[in-house]
Amino acid sequence: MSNKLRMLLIVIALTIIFLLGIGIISTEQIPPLNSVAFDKLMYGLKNPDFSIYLEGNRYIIETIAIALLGTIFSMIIALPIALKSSYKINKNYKRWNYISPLIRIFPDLLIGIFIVSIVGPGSWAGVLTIAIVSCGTSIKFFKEIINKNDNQSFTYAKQITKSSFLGNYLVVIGLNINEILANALTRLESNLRIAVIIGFVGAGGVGNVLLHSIQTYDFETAFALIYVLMILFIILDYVAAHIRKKLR
Amino acid sequence: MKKYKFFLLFYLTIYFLTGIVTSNWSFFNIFGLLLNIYANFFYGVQFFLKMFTPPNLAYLGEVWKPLLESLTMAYISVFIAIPFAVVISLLASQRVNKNKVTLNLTRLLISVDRSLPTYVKASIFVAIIGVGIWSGILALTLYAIFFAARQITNIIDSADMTAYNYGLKITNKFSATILFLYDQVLFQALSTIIYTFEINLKSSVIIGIVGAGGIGSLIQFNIDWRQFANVGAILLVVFAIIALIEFFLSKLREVIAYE
Repeated sequence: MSNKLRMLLIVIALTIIFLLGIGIISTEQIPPLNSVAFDKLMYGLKNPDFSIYLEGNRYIIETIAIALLGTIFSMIIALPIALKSSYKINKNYKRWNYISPLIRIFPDLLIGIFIVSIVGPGSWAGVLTIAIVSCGTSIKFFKEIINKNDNQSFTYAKQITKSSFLGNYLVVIGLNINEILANALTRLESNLRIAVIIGFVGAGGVGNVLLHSIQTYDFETAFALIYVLMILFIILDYVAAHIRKKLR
Repeated sequence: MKKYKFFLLFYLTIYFLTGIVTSNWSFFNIFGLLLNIYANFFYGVQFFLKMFTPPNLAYLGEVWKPLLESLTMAYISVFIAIPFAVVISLLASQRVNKNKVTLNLTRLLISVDRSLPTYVKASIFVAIIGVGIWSGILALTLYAIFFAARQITNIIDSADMTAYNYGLKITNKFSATILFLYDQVLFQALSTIIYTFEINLKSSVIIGIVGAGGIGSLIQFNIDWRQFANVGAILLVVFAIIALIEFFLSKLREVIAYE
């Protein structure tokens, strides 16, 4: 009975929120379709203009490099914090547990805005942004991976390494290298998606050019960029799935 | 010599990547960057904190309406997306859909949509139908449909199918799906949809910087006019609200997991 009552209350609350939302939205009229822009979009969809790649710029390579470097940095930052926040290794683990939720509250582009206002625009800001954003999720998953080990391995690690932090670090990496690498691949996939959009706020990569070409209705260039990115993502999806299958 | 091979390879990768990112091809470029961080980053953080604090609390009166718009965008998009997501996830599941053509077509659609980030979609919609809340809702809906569909497909493909296969013997496919598969998958799917809502909530806060409505446009406006005290006030409210909602949603997910 109480379960049904709880579900009923949740449903009622959801409908009330939904109606409130309808009330807010109904004040905004649905804008008409901009037919000129739509025609340009359809033209660009069919005839992408690949000449942007012939001008000696390297947006795509830069995007990939930002994502890779950001992933490596986030791994280097996240592993020690995950070790510290695991209850099997550290006694005072609770204060380290606040780091990852705190990072994950911030949306990715907002961290981008912060970092750009700190270190200035450029690709390096993108690398730092991705390192921080990806760190939040990595810590959470690494903590789960580390806590999955049994206590036996940690007692052996203590005996071998005299319970030094670096010793624990190396033992945990050695035990779980496959899962950590599989996790890093997953992070790399989502980091590449962040690296594409991070240019919207001026932090390097393809985003700045992409946003500019969309805002000026230059859809031929925009779709030339988008198609290459699409092929890149689909290849990466396939390769990552293959490698992950081999790691397990 | 074999011991150092791995570290050499690792250093070379970092060297090339840093070279591409910073256009500095000296062999110790990464150390130069780290030194740069040590010299400038902490000063930058201090400067940054000085910029945003103290927040201009008198500005809070103007924040509420765009903030409500943002939240509305997030959950209206999820509400619209749920039925589409369920249908597409059934079409993309190997176990339910035996027709190869529609299966591969829906999978291609999902991977095409996954390769376009939400903000790119939002900027395209802003170019087509104009600045406002509706382009944001459309972009978030598209993202929610395909993300939830992909996750629910994974859940269906790893679910226990004995009940469904038994149901296929006594009824037709449609009723078997609703009666038996639905029951197996429901709670995990609900938790996936809550997760989708969390992601959309975070996107909707910042999606306004490409002009798609919500509080992001206010943030962009205040940064453009160098009103950093106002930005501090906005961020204060936004993070309080997001943290509150995430806390409640995590409680809700625990309830769902125990049911």
